[in-house]
This record gives sequence, C-alpha cells and structure tokens, in this order.
Amino acid sequence: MRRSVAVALLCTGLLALAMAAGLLAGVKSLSLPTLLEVALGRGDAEARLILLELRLPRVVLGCLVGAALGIAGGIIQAATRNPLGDPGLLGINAGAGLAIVVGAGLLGLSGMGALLTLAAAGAALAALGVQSLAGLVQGSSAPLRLTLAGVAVGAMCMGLTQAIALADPERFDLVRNWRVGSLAGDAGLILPSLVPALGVGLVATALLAPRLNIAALGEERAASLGLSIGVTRGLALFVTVLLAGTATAAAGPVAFVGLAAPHAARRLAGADERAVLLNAGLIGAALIAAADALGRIAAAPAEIPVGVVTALLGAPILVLLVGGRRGVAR
Amino acid sequence: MTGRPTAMPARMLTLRLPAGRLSLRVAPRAALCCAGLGGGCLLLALAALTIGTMPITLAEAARALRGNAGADLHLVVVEWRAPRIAGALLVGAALGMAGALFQTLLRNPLGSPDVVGFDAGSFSGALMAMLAGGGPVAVAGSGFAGGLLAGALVFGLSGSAGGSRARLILTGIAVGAFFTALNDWIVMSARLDTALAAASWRLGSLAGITADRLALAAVLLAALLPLGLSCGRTMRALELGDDRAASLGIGLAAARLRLALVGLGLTAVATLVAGPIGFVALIAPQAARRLAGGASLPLLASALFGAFFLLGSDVAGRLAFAPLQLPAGALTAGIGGLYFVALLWSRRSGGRVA
Repeated sequence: MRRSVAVALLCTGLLALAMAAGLLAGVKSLSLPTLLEVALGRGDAEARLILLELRLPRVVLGCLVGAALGIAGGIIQAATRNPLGDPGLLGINAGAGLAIVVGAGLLGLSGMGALLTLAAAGAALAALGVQSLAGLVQGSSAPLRLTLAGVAVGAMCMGLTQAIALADPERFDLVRNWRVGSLAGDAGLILPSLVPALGVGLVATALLAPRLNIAALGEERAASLGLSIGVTRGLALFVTVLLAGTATAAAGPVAFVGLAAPHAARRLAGADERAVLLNAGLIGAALIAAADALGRIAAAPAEIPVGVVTALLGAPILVLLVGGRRGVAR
Repeated sequence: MTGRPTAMPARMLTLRLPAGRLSLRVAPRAALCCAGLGGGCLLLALAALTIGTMPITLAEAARALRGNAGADLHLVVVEWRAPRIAGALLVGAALGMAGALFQTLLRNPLGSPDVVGFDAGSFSGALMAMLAGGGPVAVAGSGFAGGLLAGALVFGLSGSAGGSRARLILTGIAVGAFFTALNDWIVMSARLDTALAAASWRLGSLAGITADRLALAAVLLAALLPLGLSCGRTMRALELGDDRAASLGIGLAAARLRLALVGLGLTAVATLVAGPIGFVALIAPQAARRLAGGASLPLLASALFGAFFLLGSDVAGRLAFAPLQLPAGALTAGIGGLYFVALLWSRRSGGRVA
C-alpha cells in the first residue's frame, strides 16, 4: 500500500512539473515567481491574462485529453491482453475523427454535444471493426493482428477524413491543425462540455478496474469467481470509446500517449489494474502537457501540434516495446 | 522445388522457334491475364481522355494529340488529360511492382511500402526538397534518399538478420508513423497556399501533375521497370525459403539488397509524381496473383493491375462526385478498406497475414 501511495505521489509530482512547464513556456516565457504571484491572486494584469485566460485552459484541456488517452490505452491493454493497445494505433481515434468530420463537414452538425456523440459512435465502430477484423485472422500473435488491422482501418479513416477536408479550402484550414492532434483550439469553449463525458468515463473506469484484475486470472477462473466476462468486455468497450472519442473530439487524433502511459504506469505500480489505470491517467496527462509545452518551445514563435510531437517521440517507444527482451513480436 | 508444388503456376507452355535454340516458357493463364489487364488499361485511358466536364470524341482527341486542333481542345487533351493519364499509368505500374517486390522480400501480404513506412520516408525527402525550392531531379534524389533512410531504419532497428518478420512489420509501422508525423508537421508549417498543394500531394493526387516531373519519372521508370522485371527469377528462388534459395546458388544478401533497392527506387519515383498513394502497392500484387494463378506474386501482372487500379481511381475521383474532385489517394484508401475486409475475411489467407 505504501508503495502505491508513493507511486501515485511521484506521478502527481510529474504532472505538476509538466503543468508548470506548460504554463510558463511560450512566446512570452514567464518565471516561476510570476506564476506563484498570480496563483496567490496578485501579479500584474498582463501576466494574469496570459496565465489564467490563455494558458491555463489549454493546459487543463491537454491534461484531460492525456488522462483520457492514458486510461483508454490501459484499459485496451488489460482487456484485450495486447501490450500494443493504444487508441491511436488501433484506429479508434481515426474512426472518431472521421465521424466528426463527416458530421460537421458534410451533415453540418455543430455543438459540442453532437460532436461528442458522433466521436463516440465513430470510435465504437472503429473499435468493433478492428476487433472483428483481427479476430478473423488466425495463425499469428494477437498484438500483430490487432495492430495491423488497426493501422489499416486508421489509414482508411485518415484518408477519407483528409479527402473530405480537402474538398473545401476553408474547411481544410479549419481542420488541418485538428487533424494531426492539436490543443490550439479555443480551450475555454471546449472544456465545459468535455467535463461531463469524462466524468462518466472516470466513474465507469473505477467500476471496471477491479473487474479487470479478476479477468487477468484468465477467462475460466474469472468466470468461476462469478465475473461476467460479457459485462466486463462491454464495460471496457464503453469506457474506451467514451474516453478516446472525447479526447479526439477535443484535440484530434493523438497517438502513442495511450501506448506509453500505461506501460510506464505498469513498470512503476505493478500489476494491480486500479493503480495502473490511476497512474496511467496521471502520466498521460503529464505527457500531453509536456509535449504541448515542448511543441511551443521548440518551434517558437510557431508551434508544433501536440499530435506531431507525441508521434515523433512515441514511435521510438513502439520500436523499443516491439524489440525489447520481453518483446511482443514472436 | 518438389516440396512446394504450388509455388509454380499450374500449367506452362513452352514456345520454341522451329530452327533456333531460343525457347520461352509461358503460363497461358498469366499471359492471358496480362493481356486482359493491358487491354483494360488501354480502354480506361481512352475513356479518361474523352469523358469529363468537356466531353470529347475519340476522333477529336486523336486530332488534338496529332497537334492539329483548336486551342481549347489542345489545352484539355494535351495539357491536362493526357499527362494525368500517363502519370496514373506510370505511378500505378511502379507501385504495383514495388508492392510485389517488397511483399516477396518481407514474405507478408501486408508488407508493402505504404504500410511499412517506406513511402512516408520517401515523401519526407521529396517534400523537404520541394519546399526548399529544388527542381524535379533534386526532389527525386531527395525522395530516394528518404526512402533509403526509412528502409535502413526499419531493417536496422528490427535486426532483420535474426529478428522475426512480425518485428520487422511492427518496426515498419513505427517508422512510418514517425515519418508521417514529420510530413504533417512540414505541411502544416507551410503557408496556406503551399500547404494546400502539399496536402493534396500528401494524400496522393494526380491533379497537380507537372510536365517536368512526369518526363523525369518516365525516364527513370524506363530503367527501373525492366530492372524490376529482371528480379522475377530471384524472387521465385527467395520464395522457396532462405536455405533452398542459398542451395540454388542465390547470394541471399545481394538478392535482398537488389530487390529492396529496386523497390525503393520505384516507390520514390511514384512519390515524386503523385505523393504517397496508399493501398495500390498493397492490393495490386495480391489481386494480380489471384487473377494470374499460381502462388507467387507476378511482377508484370502486378504492375499492370496497379496501373489499371490507379487510373480507375483517378477517373472515379474526377467524375463520380462532380463537381467535387477527390484525389486518387482518397479513392484508393476507401477501396483499400474494402480490400482489408476481404483479405481478413478469407480464412484461406489467414496464414499469410504475418
């Protein structure tokens, strides 16, 4: 118990550091004392404007997106026993993105509520499609089958998304940032509608985590202990789709955070899925906040979208996971 | 060879000159298939030349191509439609052949250059050269270098000598994701007008084809396509497995390097003309194999099917949703999705998916 508290504290500390970096970094870099002054309700008007109105909503949005992706990845990895589980790699984010672009671009829907529903529906379709496609193939390891099916479905969805966007230059300019994953949108506008969906997702995660621990014993044992495998799978799918869809609606399809965060959490926290998912959420939030800060520093005064930063840094992580001594490719 | 009788086409004919020592082995079904695909390409090209917002009769098109037609007709036929058709046929053929080479090399029907990231690497190189203001030769050279880098990364990081093919493919996916992100970043940081052109190119489009790029690609492919066709014998040997191929006197490392270099060259040329078009290199060899019969991937039929597929996608993207113009890459992506359903559905191919 003491260890899990220590790990959670460590991850919270990492998150605080990343958030501070996200608040201080930018075209006008601020100092830590300024941040503290503003936090205490003092400081000059300009610093207050930059920190509270511009950067804080963006950092909070990034943290929520990162937490959702980290938890979704952790659930996929536990529920499908696929160490390469990631809503980005598996095409779930791309499915959500396609549904949003179809709904907003072609059908003319607007409003965050409609977009979130669309995103969740698209994510669910993609997840079920990838799962059933991968299940139809035999004779190779599950991670490879799932990843190939996910990459294929993702490539198809991204291609169609791009095509719809390209058909209209104005629309193209609107989505060209969002399409690769970016927090540059109006965070203050997006945040309020995001919170209820994520709240439901987190409550469902809390219900799901103990079930995943039992399911890890194997299907037969779990069933003999009274766990309903069907309900667990359904709940896992629901939470994954809700979290990944919401994250995609807010920030576009971001890959590799859902892959890296649960792996780091598992290394730190051990096998208990409750601890893994909690820390995966914290680490995912920290990763997105840090990646966003990095993207703003590295190319100042322009910025690199967060989805590009996570892909550039996350692809080597996939190589490591595939090639490591406990590599998944057999 | 007795261990895998299916590795050869079922029926072969041997043609001999009556007097001479020259003889040629021909698989009738494969030859028929190639002739059919070639005819299909020709018909499709004629259709693409005549159908469109401005309908043109064949006689008018022929007149324009001979050079004695009005300015309007000349513009539409010679400046717009003919280069686009030629580009689609060349790029499709290059991609189809590159797919057959890489799928044989990686022994996986999904091991095509668009899945394992070679075309993303190629495109990174080409994009950087284009935005730096380089001419077509610089763009082609830089694209080839980018593809080479991606290939070196995939094979190097996956320890191809001892590593499994599953690891190779997953590493390829990671490398592809890396270069795709790089391309997205490059496209996004460009100004809107350049970004729009680059983004259309990025998805794979034949709309923005330029005469100088097309001419360069034609010259390069005139060398690369025969080189690719000459790899057929080596491919048949490699399909037998490493040990048997070695016992047939094939130098494995040299043979693999040759296939990879020719495949990368073809991919780079295709990317130069039309950007990274997905799914053509993936689908064409498999479809050609089903049509031509036999267990190995036929090079010529793959190239012809690729040409047919890409030209068909381009025409459909130009006409089917008019006045909306969809880039060919969007069509191939959609058809690619359907193909995946088919591929994964057929249990027979289950063992071949990795």
